[in-house]
Amino acid sequence: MTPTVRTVLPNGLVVLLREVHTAPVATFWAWYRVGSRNEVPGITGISHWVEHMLFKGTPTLGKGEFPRLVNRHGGTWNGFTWKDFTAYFETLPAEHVDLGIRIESDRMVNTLFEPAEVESERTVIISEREGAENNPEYALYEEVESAAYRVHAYRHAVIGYKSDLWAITRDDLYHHYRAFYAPNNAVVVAVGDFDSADLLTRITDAFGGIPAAAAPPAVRSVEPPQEGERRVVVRRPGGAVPIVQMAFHAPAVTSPDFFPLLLVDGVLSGFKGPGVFGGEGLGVRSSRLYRALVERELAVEAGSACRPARDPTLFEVGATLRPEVAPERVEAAILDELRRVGDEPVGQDELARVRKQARAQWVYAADGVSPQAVLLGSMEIVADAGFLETFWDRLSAVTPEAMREAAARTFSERNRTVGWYFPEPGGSTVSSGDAVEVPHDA
Amino acid sequence: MPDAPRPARGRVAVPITPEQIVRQRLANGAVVLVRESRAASAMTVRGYLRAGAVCDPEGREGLALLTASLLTRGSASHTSESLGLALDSLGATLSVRADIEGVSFAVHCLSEDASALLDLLGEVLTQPTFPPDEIEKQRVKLITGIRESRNDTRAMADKTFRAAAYPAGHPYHRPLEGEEETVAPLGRDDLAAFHGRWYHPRGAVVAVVGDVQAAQVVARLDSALSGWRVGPPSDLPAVPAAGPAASVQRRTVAIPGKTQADIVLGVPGFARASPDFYAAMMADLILGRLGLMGRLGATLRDEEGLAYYVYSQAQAGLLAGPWAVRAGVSPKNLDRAITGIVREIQGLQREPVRDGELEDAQEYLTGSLAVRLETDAGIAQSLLDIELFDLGLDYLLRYPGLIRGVTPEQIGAAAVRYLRLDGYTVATAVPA
Repeated sequence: MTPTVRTVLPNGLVVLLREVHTAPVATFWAWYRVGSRNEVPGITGISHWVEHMLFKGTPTLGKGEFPRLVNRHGGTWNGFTWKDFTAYFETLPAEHVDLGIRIESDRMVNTLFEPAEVESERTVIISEREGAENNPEYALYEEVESAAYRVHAYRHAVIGYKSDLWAITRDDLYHHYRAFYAPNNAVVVAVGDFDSADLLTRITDAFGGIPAAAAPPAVRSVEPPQEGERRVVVRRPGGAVPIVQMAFHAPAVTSPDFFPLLLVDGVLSGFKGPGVFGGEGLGVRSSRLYRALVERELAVEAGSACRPARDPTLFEVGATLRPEVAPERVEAAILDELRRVGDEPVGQDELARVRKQARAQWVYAADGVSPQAVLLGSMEIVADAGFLETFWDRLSAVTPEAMREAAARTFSERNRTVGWYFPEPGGSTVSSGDAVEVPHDA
Repeated sequence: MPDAPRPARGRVAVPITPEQIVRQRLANGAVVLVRESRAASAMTVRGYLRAGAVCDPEGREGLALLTASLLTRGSASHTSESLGLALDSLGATLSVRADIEGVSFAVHCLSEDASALLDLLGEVLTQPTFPPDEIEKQRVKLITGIRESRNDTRAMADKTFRAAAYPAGHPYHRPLEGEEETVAPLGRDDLAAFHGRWYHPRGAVVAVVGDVQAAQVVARLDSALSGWRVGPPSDLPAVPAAGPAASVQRRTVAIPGKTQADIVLGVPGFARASPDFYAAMMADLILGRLGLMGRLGATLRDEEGLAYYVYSQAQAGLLAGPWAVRAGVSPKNLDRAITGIVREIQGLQREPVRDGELEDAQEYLTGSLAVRLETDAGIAQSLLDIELFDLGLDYLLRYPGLIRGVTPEQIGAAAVRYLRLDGYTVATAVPA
């Protein structure tokens, strides 16, 4: 990947610029150090809701105008919220990158929180949550996560609890926005076909006048060590086969154990890439979980995830069972594999395979300006400025023994939360009927 | 609108022109297209074969999907396990997947492994062995997927819509994955026979983009696919005509354990080759895609707060796929949402463009070429479409003219012709 220029403006805004001239496009991103980790009971889901409100317009650009303008200039756009951050982007033909600068500098401080818009968005977000609730795997994951954490805000889903979504007020939203949306709590990233010095001037013009705000409130809660296995069960109709999930407390991205665990994850289910959201599914079929569970006909799918996170997080393992297979057997097979990776160092061939997958993910992630901006922005927030520069050296330095030790430390009984989903009986019914009456002059 | 930057008209970045593409028909009839690109030290392949579920015999639905899934599970020189190991050792992917109209295959690998992957691709496509134990594994996976989809409101709304909107015998009427009873009896002979009949090089397209030498890619594929039996011509099965229903049809599926209802409301749409394609596609953009999901998003989501997702989509392929609006809503808002969707369709027919929507759609379609063709995968997919739909390698040069030639009257006419308010189908999957 080409070098990145990192600048910090006097108001605290971090600017990351990477020139890529392979195609005449550029992507512009605004990242904020706010997500569900910054939420307390009663306002869960508020960061995500604020993200939705940032599409509702400002005094100069009305509701719906941001997406419309970006499309009209041949661009794509979106926003998303995660535990550690909230991000917005516009990917455009390179000559229109200033549109991204204009939109993001405007809505960083000028977003309208009209009460009527807050109310119409409330039901949109509840609809988003209810769509997820239809999926038993999601329901189980929500239970596992909240059982694994007792204290830290990672315990609740980014979307938030439904009761909170009914109760959050316009003023709650506005307060959250003012507390976290400021240049000193943000990172802007541009990747693409531009001249960095020129672009930095334009970014400085647009964002430099926005005053820094008071430092946002820090996350105080620290998850205490777990002292024994926790188990949860979800029973409900609406699924076809049981699901088994496991979660183990794992360190933050800044821990020396992170890189060994990233490779352990690669051994278990294929190397996913350096970022928070992983890359293509590489290395799945020769991975240990696939061989132990899918090839041995216990599960139709099996996987694991070790995502970089700002605070101590979870190493997750999961399997969707074959019909007629008891979850006890699948759980035992998963635990065997986790024990093995903590007992015996990984062999050279197997490690070489995972390292090649890592190299491939790195190369693949350079095709397209947006994936590069995702890596730059997310890792600046989750890890630190030097994380990607040192990524390869630190990954290469990991020894099989360090992997074994990290696995043994992580995959212990006392550190484990196990969740089972059982589908309850209940069949679908089909009916046909008349169409609803539609007034022809509605 | 206040001082918004003006889009530059007419400047389009075009990575596909006759000069930039090597196009070669191999001796066996397969067409290879290559574009060299130095964006990443990798190779991306997208390919297509006419061996989709449209070829499934009556009562054997799921055969095309199962056959495709077995291609990477055993071939002349590889067991399933050794192929998995070979791919994983290279950090590469090689996938083959059947859809309703055809089979798509894809490769992603580092440039240093390009030759090895092209060889593997050739072996997988032309010499699968269909090991019985691997068939069983894939069959269980397929049946599990069928059972899961019966519990999935989005999947069931879609399946129910297609069964009602398309006539029996039409490939869009039938489920791609089949039913448990059609998948259960499929045996090795069925898969081998399906492969023998439908997997042939005539009509096959392979698009390759990346840090490769075009001449080497063509030579390697020529060799890797040289054993491919040309075979007697097999015309694709005849497909019955599909059009609007005689009256509005409504179907409901109730599924226990659910919170949200999903809606699919639409009609059989238009094929990619239809003369209505450009106008209808722009009607679709205005109805439910542009900006925040077009007019549907502006009213049903943004104003009324009814749905997190509500959008329209026209699947214009070799056949006329569905042109449908999809939405997820609270069950208590189901009728209100359906009424709102119909109201927006009526509005589109009466007033196809308003407030600069024509320019929005035109500028988006022409301007977004650069972004759509930014990645190797984007270029490969476009090359595939250009070949599959016989658009010509100068297509992207002609494209802005085609888009700017569409009039509001044509957009309105397309909306009236297809989105028939006296013959649409609405399928809902609701909590039981």
